[in-house]
Amino acid sequence: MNPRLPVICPSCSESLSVSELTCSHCQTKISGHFVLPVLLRLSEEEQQFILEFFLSSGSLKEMAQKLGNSYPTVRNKLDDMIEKVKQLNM
Amino acid sequence: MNRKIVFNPFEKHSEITLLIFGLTLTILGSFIGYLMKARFDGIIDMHPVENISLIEPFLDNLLNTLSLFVLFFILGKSINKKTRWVDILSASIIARIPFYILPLFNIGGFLEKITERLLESIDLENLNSPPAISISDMLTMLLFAGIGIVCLCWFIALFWNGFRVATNTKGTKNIILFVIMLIVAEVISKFLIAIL
Repeated sequence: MNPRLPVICPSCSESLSVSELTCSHCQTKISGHFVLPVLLRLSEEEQQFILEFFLSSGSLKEMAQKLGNSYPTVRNKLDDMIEKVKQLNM
Repeated sequence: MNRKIVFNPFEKHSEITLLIFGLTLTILGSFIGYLMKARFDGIIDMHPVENISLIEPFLDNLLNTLSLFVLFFILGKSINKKTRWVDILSASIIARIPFYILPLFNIGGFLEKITERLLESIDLENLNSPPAISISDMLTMLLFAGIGIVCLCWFIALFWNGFRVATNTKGTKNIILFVIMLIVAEVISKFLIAIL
C-alpha cells in the first residue's frame, strides 16, 4: 500500500510544505523549505480526475462516458477545480 | 428505487437518454390527458374539463415546455455562459413528468363530477352557509389535493436539480431568481394557452 501524501496540516488545516527530501539510493538528504506544487495540493480524487482528463485528451464527453456521469456534471466538476486551482495560485 | 433516478437523473444520464425518455412520457402523458379529459393549462396546472380535443393536451404540454425552456435558458446563460440549450430542454421535459400522473385520477370524469357537485352545493345567495358536500367527496378532493402537492414538489425538485446541473449554479441569489422565473413561466404559459 502506498501511503497517501498529506497536503493539509491535521492540526491547523493549513497547507503543508516539504522540509526534507531523501535519495532512496544513497540516502542523501536535502533540507529546506519547498512549497508543494498546486496539483499536489489538490485532493487525491481531484488529482485522479485531472489524470483521467489528460488521458482522455481533454475530451469531457469521453470523460463523462468513462465516469458514468452526464456531460454537465463532469464540466461542472472541472469548472469547480479550475476555480480551486485559481484560489491556490493566488 | 434509486433516489437519484427519481429526483436527479441529470447527474448520471446523458442528454440523449433524458430527451428520449422525457419525450416518450410527454407524448404518453398528453394522450392520457386526452383520454381522461384533463388540460395542462399552465406549467404547474392540471384541470379536469368537460370536453377536450386530441390536440389540446399536446399543445398545452408543448407551450408549457417551451415557456420553461426559453425563460430558464435565458436565466441559465446569464448565470453561466457555458450552459447548453439541450440540458435546459431535457430538464424542462423531464421535470413535467409528475403532472402526467394526475389525469389518471379522472377516470370516467370522476374528478370533474366531484368538482361539479362541489360547485352546485355552493349557495351563492347565502355564502356564509357551508356547502352541502358529502364526506366522501371532500376526502377524495383532499386526497387529490395532497397528491397534487406531492407532484408539484417533485416537479420543483426535478427542475431545480436539472437547472443546477445544467448551469452549475450556487448561492441563495440564484435560488430566488429560479423561484421568480418559475412564477413568470407559470403566468406566461397560462396566458399563451388561454389565447391559443
